[in-house]
Amino acid sequence: MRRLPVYLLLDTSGSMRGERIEAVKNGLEVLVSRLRQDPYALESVWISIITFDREVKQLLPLTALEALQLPEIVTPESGPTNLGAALNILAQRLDMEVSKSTAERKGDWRPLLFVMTDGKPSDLADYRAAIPLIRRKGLASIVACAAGAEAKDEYLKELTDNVVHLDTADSTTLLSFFKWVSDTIGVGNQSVGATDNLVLPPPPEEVHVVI
Amino acid sequence: MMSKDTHKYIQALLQQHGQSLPAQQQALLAAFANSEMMEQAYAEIIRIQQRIMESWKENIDIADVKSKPLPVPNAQVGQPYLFTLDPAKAGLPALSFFDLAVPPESGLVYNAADFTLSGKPLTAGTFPLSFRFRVAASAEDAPLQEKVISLLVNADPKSLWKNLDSDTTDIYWKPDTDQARLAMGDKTLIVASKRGRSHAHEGRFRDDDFGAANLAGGWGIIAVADGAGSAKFSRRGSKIVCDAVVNFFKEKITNAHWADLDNAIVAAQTSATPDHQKTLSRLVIDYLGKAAYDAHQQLNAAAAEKEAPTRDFATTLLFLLVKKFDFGYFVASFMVGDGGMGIYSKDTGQVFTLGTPDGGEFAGQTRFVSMPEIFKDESFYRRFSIRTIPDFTALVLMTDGITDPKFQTDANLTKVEYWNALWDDLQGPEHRVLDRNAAQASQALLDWLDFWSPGNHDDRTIAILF
Repeated sequence: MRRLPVYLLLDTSGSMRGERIEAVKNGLEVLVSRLRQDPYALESVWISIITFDREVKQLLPLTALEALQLPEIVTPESGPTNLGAALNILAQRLDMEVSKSTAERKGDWRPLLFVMTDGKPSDLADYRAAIPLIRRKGLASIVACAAGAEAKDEYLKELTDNVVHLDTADSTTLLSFFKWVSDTIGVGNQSVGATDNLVLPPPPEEVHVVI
Repeated sequence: MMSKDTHKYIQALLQQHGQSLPAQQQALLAAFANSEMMEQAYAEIIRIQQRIMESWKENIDIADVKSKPLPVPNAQVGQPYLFTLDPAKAGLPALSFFDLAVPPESGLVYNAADFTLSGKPLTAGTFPLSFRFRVAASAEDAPLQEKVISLLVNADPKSLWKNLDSDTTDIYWKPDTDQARLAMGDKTLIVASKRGRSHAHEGRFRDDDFGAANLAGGWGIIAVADGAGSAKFSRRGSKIVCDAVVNFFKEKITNAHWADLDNAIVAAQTSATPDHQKTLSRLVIDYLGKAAYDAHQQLNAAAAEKEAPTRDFATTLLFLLVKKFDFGYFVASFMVGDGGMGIYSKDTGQVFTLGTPDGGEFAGQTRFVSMPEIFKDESFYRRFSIRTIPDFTALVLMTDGITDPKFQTDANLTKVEYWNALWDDLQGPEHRVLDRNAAQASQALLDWLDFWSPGNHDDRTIAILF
């Protein structure tokens, strides 16, 4: 069976502590439960969650949506936002976890990547070095979300053309973002896996597409 | 022993409270510590300390049980569920007692005798399971503690699919299903095409299509096409290319052309010299290649008329010509994209695949007849196949909606066991598709297209000449 691998890279640096991380957790719950209402997603979506702060952790290895149980997410008191290190770990995981087609094996659908941060990469040199590495992985789409006023769009633009900005990183806004993510992954989006450029569904009012 | 411990304890206690204990008081201290009263007091203190320590251990163990995850795997509606609860395996502290209270509406029951949670869930949702426990560090009569675990029951994906009608007012609308049955030479062709569940769920159109006709000189043509899921007007594209190749052979290939081809086939069959083979190859590439290019041009024309890019009409195209000769059947084919074509002979246990599906490193990546480079690349010549065969059980053309669930990989398309399984399924007691004399044979084939395969819900089209 062909899987649709979905990688979520989530910022858990100090600034996410408190309401924001609670909103992210809530958003993940909603994302997963919405996808579970979608018959196509239920049979094909596999999700991995990688968090980054000073450390990068794959909290959830690529797991079938039907079997998935959300892991506990914690944030340190303070510390940097090592998005570059996260991309390097992601590249390794993509190699290990995603199947490619051979004559003897049916490959997965092209993976989707969602990155969410409320700041900017602290390890900028590593971040910039990792971008071409990720680009070579044949992802169907990369959607980057800059959450909150301090989040920097311009660095995310280096990673992908699909950057969205949330003016405020409160629970309502983050929730609508995660709902939009579920629409992007779901059956409604026929272009998943089939084209070079994923067609993003129209984002909700709170989510601005950065041109 | 005890008195020595008592002595040390009292000495430490006195010093802790600022007593200097000079040397002349040592004898006095020894006698004081050695008294029965002090011995008893010391024993009491040790007991109290032990109780404090045990109580602390009990507290942290309880907190540990409550905070550590005790995962219970997700269930699915209608699927038998069995899970053995093993707190020690989950890394929880030692327990002297535990059980699990399960809401009856979950459809599961917990059996305390063998620690199993089992049953067949009836409704989807999240159910709170009450895990009641007593840690080993607690007294035997200590009250039970409680931890709530969430049990997630997934819906049966089958129950979530909707079947919404497509918009019949759309300019490129086509029926959600289509079928055909026609005699072709001494064989019968049945074709069925059906919108996939993923399209039905959204009220989208069927992107697959097919075409078939009897041509001059005893020739037959069969074509199937799969419009790209991501292309806006691919439902139209697949129809255009199937119609195009059928009409090309009806209109552009004259009786003289057919005679040339027939002669070349007979010549190649009777004396298989390289020259004869070459002449035949050249004619096949000429006729079928022109037909395919005509289909490509018609996509360009449709796109120009719609003022849209040709890629909006992207579609695969698989077609073949077939004719019976004295020596057997001659088949020539052309293919761009995924899906598959094969000639299956059940008795000899042989299958000949026609063409190789175009694929990329990920699923869903393929090539389309709308791409101009198809006709320029060196690989163009590998898109043709020629085969002569005394007889066959079935000649089959399929879009990837069939090949993905039934063959999974390109390699399996060449393995006869997969064709045997397909054939058995088609004519098995459940379906009985393959009665060539039955008027409803193509309807039976259409019904067969509803087969269930998790994750495979694309449009399905299959043409069988048998």
